Amino acid sequence: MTADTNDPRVELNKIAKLLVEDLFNTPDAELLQEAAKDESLKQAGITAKNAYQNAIQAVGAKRLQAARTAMKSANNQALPETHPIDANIARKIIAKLTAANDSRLTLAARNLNNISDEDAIELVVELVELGAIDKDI
Amino acid sequence: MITTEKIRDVLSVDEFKENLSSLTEVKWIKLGKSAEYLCMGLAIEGQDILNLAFCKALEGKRKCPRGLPVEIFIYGAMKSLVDAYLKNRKRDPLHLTAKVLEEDGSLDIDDLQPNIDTPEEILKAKQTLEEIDQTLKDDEAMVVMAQLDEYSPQQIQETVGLTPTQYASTLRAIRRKLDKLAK
Repeated sequence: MTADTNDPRVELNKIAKLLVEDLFNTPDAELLQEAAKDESLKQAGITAKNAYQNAIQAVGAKRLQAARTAMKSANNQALPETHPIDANIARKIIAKLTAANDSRLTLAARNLNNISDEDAIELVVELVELGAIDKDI
Repeated sequence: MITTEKIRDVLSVDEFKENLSSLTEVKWIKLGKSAEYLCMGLAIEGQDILNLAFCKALEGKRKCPRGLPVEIFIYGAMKSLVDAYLKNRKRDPLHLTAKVLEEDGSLDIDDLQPNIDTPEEILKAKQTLEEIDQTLKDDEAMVVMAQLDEYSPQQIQETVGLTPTQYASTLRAIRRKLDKLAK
């Protein structure tokens, strides 16, 4: 059946098209009767449904990842432009608010010794973004 | 130029999903089985090709023409993907599992991970062809031969000497025999 010059995979693919032609031409009721006797047909249906559910999840996860990346990228671009704050300045601002017993600071934030430079900057940035303090404070 | 009319001629992703949600059990069987047939003798699985075809449609990269049954549309997508896969593997016999994502990160034919190398795949396909050859008889074998020579269904019927009904019965017999063979 197979000439040596032909790729057997391509030949099988041609036969597959013949099988599909019959499959799609088989009346639904007749195929259901076949499926009642042939477990592999039922299994093929289940596999197809699962492939669809997996595709929904994969595409959803990819969209979520893309949104996260875009958000991260937007945040990274925004921060240096609006908040060129270093840790010392951030700590001074927090110390000033603490001295004034400002309610905008949480209890944890008032203890400057317990927060890292990063947290201090982040806290001040958040307060500026929320409009709770002026960025030129 | 894309006109509004042309845009309306294809299903939106939501419409596509609605159509799929109302698909009957037997249509799912046809989809699953056609995927198996397309991957017959290849180093990829039917479920992977189905998954890839669904992803393309859900991402809006392949759009289903309005009025075309979704199962036929998905079959068409799978057929194109397998054709591309075969072309890829044929062009480069050493092509193993190289993964080249499209620039936008969407799934591509190269995301299909063959589970065996090309020489093994060819050997497996050859063995499957031999098994098919031994299984089919007379008219069935002649129909398959004519199909391999890329005759149209009409030409096959004329060449083998079958009426349309006999041709349909022969195809059914071939499908059932090959289904048994695959088990």
